Amino acid sequence: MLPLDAPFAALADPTRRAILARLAEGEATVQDLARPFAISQPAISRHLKVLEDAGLIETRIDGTARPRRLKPDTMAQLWDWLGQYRALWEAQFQRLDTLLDNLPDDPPTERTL
Amino acid sequence: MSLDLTKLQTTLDGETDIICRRDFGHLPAKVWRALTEPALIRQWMAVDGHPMTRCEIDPRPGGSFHYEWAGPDGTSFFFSGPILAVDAPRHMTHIEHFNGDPAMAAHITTDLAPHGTGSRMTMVMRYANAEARASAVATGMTDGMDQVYAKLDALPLD
Repeated sequence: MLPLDAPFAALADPTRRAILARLAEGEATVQDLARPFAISQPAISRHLKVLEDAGLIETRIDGTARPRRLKPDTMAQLWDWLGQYRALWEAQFQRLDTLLDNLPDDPPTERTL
Repeated sequence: MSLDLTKLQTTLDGETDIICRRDFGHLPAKVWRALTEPALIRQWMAVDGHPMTRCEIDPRPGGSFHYEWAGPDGTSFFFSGPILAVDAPRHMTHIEHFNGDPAMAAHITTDLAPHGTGSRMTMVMRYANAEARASAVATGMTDGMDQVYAKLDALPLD
């Protein structure tokens, strides 16, 4: 069993991924987060609880406000586990390998040195 | 221990850096062309299902670049910024903004060194602080997640 099953499961929902993308821009309250989505604040709150239980986000207490923000440590761990994501990037570099194999050694145009 | 860098290696370094390393089977002069000539960049920098809709780079100090892709539902996303330093075919320093957001800036140095009969690329992406790096990781993850999850469907997530 992967220790990061909970974060991955939390990320399996597109609304929760959109919430994370929004929090990547900075902390936000439930009201801030509910605005761009066509769902209620209670529904957003349920998504936030899943994300917080998974350790992806945390709540800051600021007077009566409870802004949510990303937890950098968890993001770093996720990064380590996301070999699948990096595979997409690697796929680009494999296309680059093929391009280089087919590219003449001497460029027909001038070099900028 | 020798690293296998025939596949991309990506590591978090310190509080603010992401380091990417990859070997190529061709010398730096040729790899440099593929990294700096738009006609060549377009051929390999497509994201699955998203061809580049704009690909511009003026690789000299004071120049700039703009790489853009069309996303689903008429959206688009782009990376752009100034080129700060160029020493062809071995070094470039540039600033990269995601979707034009000045708060999402990475300071990126790219080095190509001869390695055997090919090249080793080392790219250091430096963010303002740990939080900015985490944000960049999260954004990159969320943008790529739909494709990732197509591949992760086989895993028991519940």
